[in-house]
Amino acid sequence: MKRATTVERRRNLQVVYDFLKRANARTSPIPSLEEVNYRMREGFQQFAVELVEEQNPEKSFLEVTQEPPESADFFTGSMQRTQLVGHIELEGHELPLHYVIVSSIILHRKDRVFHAWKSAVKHEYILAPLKFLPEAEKLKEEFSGDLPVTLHDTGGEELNYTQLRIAAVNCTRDLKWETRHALLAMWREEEGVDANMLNIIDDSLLHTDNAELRENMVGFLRMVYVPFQNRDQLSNHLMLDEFQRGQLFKIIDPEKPENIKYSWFLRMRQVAKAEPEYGLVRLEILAQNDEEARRRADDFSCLMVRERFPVTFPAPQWDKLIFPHKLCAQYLSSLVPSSETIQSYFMSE
Amino acid sequence: MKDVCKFPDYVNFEYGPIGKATSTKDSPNTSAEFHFWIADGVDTLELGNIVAACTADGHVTFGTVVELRTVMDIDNFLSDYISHDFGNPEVVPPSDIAEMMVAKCVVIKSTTERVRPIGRAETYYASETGVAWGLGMLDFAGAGRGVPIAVMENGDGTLIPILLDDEFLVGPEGSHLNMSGISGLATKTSLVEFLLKSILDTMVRSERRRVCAVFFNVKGKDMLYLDKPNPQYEEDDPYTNKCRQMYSKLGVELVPFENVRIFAPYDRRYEGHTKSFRRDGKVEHFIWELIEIVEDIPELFDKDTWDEGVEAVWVDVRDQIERQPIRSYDELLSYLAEERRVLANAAISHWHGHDKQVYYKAAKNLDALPGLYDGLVCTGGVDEVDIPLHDLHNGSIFVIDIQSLNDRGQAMVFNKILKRVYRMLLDKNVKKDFDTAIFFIDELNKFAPRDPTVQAPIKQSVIEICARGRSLGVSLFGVEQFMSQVDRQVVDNSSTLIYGRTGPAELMTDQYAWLDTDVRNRLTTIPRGTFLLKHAKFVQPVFCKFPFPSCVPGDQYEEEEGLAAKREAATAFTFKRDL
Repeated sequence: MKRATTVERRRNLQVVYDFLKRANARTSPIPSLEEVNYRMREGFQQFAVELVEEQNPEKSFLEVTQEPPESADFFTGSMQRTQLVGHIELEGHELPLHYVIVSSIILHRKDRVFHAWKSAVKHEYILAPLKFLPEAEKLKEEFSGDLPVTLHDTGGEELNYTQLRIAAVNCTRDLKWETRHALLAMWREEEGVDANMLNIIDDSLLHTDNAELRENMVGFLRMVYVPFQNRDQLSNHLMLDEFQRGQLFKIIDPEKPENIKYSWFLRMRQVAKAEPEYGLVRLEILAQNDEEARRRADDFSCLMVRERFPVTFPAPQWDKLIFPHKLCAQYLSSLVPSSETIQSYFMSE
Repeated sequence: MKDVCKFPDYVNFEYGPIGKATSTKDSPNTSAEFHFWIADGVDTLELGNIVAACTADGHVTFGTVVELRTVMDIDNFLSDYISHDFGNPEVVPPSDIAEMMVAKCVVIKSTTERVRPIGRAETYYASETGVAWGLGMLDFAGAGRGVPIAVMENGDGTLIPILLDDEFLVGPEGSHLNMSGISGLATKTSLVEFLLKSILDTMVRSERRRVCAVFFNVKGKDMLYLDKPNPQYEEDDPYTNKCRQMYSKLGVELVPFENVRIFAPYDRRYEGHTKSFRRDGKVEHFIWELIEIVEDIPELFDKDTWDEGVEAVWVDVRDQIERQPIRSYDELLSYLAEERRVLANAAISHWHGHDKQVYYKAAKNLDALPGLYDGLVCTGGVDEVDIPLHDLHNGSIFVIDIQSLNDRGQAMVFNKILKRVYRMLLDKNVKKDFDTAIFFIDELNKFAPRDPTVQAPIKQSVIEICARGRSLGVSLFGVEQFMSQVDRQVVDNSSTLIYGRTGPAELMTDQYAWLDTDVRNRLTTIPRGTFLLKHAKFVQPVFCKFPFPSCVPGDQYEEEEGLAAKREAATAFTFKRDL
């Protein structure tokens, strides 16, 4: 306890450093984030799709005659950063140790101007495969509680170096979802009561139970690769024209059939000679029934087409990245040290 | 932050924080400058404001805002063009692109003795006490040496008195003031009038110094009505009220000058006998006899007219003046005429060894002098009337109106008065009721030009006064449109520099290179009544505001209707020709 109190006074990186020393690990940071090294699995394979519309509606959502009743007032962004900072040698195996930051923010747009809704939620962890770590329980006890960085299990069943690193990324993803869910839960209670006040979330809603969501939460995905179980049903979305939405479909989790989400693709912008996924995004919503889902898909498509301005050029994926989500990312990035800083810190020893 | 701050009096905590210090890879903070972003809703901060950055260790670092930048979250123009639906200005995107303002400050002073960049710091407006401490005014003001010159209006609306250290304004530690700026904005002359009022009020009241002033009016009616109240103060508009507030804040009395005497060259045709625009009988005339100007006569002609041959003749004429003696200019003219009559004999080819034609040239010049400098030299039986410099006393002002003279005439009068007062102060045996004399002259570039090819007979004299005058109590307040055209030694010896509105071409000269780009740009547009002040005791220059002078600006004063015009018609000034 005395030890923990001493550690508490130090800066976050110092806590991680103390852990590495305490666990007899060596500092061995790498410059790139694990998210870059290993593609995160979205887990779409566990879902199935069911078409609500057989064809893509041939309608441009640029010009609408009727103003949607909803307005996009809130935008949620989340961030995860998994950085390998040290290793423990154990019986001929290397155990990777990661420093992890997850955070989430909701921005409120009022009169075209953004403000942070409450404050960003940020958590920092040391990820270690506790199953294989000597003195794991003792270390867990020492690096927990009120410390700014706490020890968390990487998971992973196999003592395989690469698999442990992949497990770390997936573990971070779960922690990110946890953080986001906590923030959304607060928002849902305090602000989310107005069904017409939308919260556009920069991620998929598939891994969140419907009970934790509201119908004014909209999942906005820039990734249009959809390896669902019966993905062959969704084959023509790459052919969408500018400002056109794709056919509406349901996404069903066979294990939790009550968690139905509705989804569709939308081409936010198009230019000559663009690759097929240029400007193509996918949206996810909740709806009571197909008819309501269809109406909302039209309304939200219209709203999202408007969000193509202001453009976020030259940000990566700017053709799909809407400005409010770029702001979320900037906000969250400003709260954490750069990966270069982290690497430099652990390189110094 | 107020609880942590060790110097809460130095910071305007009531207004609240106005931003937070930050640094980036491209714009790092250094020990000499720091940056801070400006909080949302703070729209009063402007260039020249003085801010206080409070760090977590309780120390306060003061800085002057020298650059303000707005940054939008747009990486390039193309992006914004696209955002407006490919160039449609009427398109209103659903999100307003975030815009922020960043201020760059140069460090004035810090409460910590460690010289290092500030880290994260909350930024506030500096309080009045904070500005006074930061600029170093507390030290000399506490010792009773502060002379109010203007106010600095900080972004929080506070009017902060700006004081000069009298030991650096009128000696002995430093001295002289130089002011530059475009004409016609009622800044330079008005400021000098206000500053003189402030100096006299402060020093006469404190009895620390006995100060008198000699002002040279070189154009129009600028300085002729120092004793007349400014009718502007009969108005009740917001700016005039603010001016009243400034007087009150600075502790200067809002009354015109007392003890003003005005002198102008003699005018034989006008009944008032003065070559001055002021015709109410207040102006006294002066005119000098030969003895008084004999040393200066060569300087009244240009090099072509007064060549080496003429100069050689003049040496012999001077010899005759002393030998005979010739006491008046009338006698000199008679002497020259007699000599000319003798030389008319064809058998005589030389005068005192000089070719006769050279003598004729010299005599012709001397004959023409009273006409060319009409009113300066006694001829036609007019008696000499000198400017009574021995009457100068503590709190008195002499205005010498030399606007009717050409450049050479003005230079001669200026130099003569300057030297005489200089000698009075130098000679401990001369009884006098002042120990400090302030000289003010406009268009200083004519008298001490930087260009060495420009003929300036009194340049060395001015430089010497600037270099040595401070220890004697002679202080030169020089004004010009372009500081770059004034001799460098004169400017460098001035402890106080004032910049009014200045043209961009002038600002490109090296005289202004030490100023930040934004400050230089600001100088091209600063409004009336605003100037940039650099004082020897200040680490950084300060943008200041000053009120209307308490006396009427000469160019705005009209004497009794018709009187001036009538007298104007009755008198024709000498054609101002530069010989």
